[in-house]
Amino acid sequence: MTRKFVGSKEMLAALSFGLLVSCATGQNIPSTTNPASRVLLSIERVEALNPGKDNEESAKQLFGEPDMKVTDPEPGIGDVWLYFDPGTKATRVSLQFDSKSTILLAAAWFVRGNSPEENLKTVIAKFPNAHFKKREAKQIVPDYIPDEAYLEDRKLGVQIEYYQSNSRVHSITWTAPKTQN
Amino acid sequence: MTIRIRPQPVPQLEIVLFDSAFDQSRNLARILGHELAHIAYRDLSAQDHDDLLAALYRFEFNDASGKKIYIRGRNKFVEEDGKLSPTEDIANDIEYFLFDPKRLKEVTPTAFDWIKMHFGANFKLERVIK
Repeated sequence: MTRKFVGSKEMLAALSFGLLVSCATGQNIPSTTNPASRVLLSIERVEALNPGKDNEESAKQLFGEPDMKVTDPEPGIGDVWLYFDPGTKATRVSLQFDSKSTILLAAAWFVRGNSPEENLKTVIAKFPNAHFKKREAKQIVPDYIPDEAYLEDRKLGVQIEYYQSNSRVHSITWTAPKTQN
Repeated sequence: MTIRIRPQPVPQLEIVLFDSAFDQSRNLARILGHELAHIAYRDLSAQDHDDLLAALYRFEFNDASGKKIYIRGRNKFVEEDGKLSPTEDIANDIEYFLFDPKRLKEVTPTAFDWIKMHFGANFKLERVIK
């Protein structure tokens, strides 16, 4: 597949303004914590969560205190907890909660190098009952067409993010199952 | 008129330049440096990608609607559009490393250090025309 990088940013800036607006909201600088005790982060632990049923308390029992907590990084997002790989600031697990009910809305596992989940076929095989629909990432800046794409089954509540150029998986996200795909 | 460039070693990717890129008021080398930086970002290994996001103070998470959100851990950027996405941020940072390193070092020293470490202190654009 041919991907294009478009020079002369100003030329396309006006056309792309609508796409930019959703990402241009202000954010407060988050602070990180240093959890005294850290459980081992694993995809199995993330899979054990039930978005739509679990809440902040049950997530804390499973994962411990997060490395970073942010409220409304964009309006209406709610509470976001991030867990980093030890000794890094790289997100390994992200959890999103409803601010009022504290119910878990989404749990994501970020795949790191040399793990079986890097392989798209391996990850797809984890969900034999899924009926995935492909969605390409939206273009955010005028001079760069993104490589990322998503396989989604909203009925099942699963999303696989991968790079189209090399089929490498970047993340897997679980949400509460929806009634319609 | 448009000019299409297929940079090696990823010839399946293209940089497309439009007329205004050749305006006398523009620095064509700087534009090319910026666009090539997008390709360099895409070519990073998973580990380097993580390291770079950390250097840029970008913390990613996926929300329930399927949207990817990067929480920004800093407010100063060499160019305002760097706030919009990590790829634009790093393309700007590499552009400044090549053409205005003093400014990058002032604004985002961690990005300066990462680029220097990753690409080397002698990292620069070369004139290679085939």
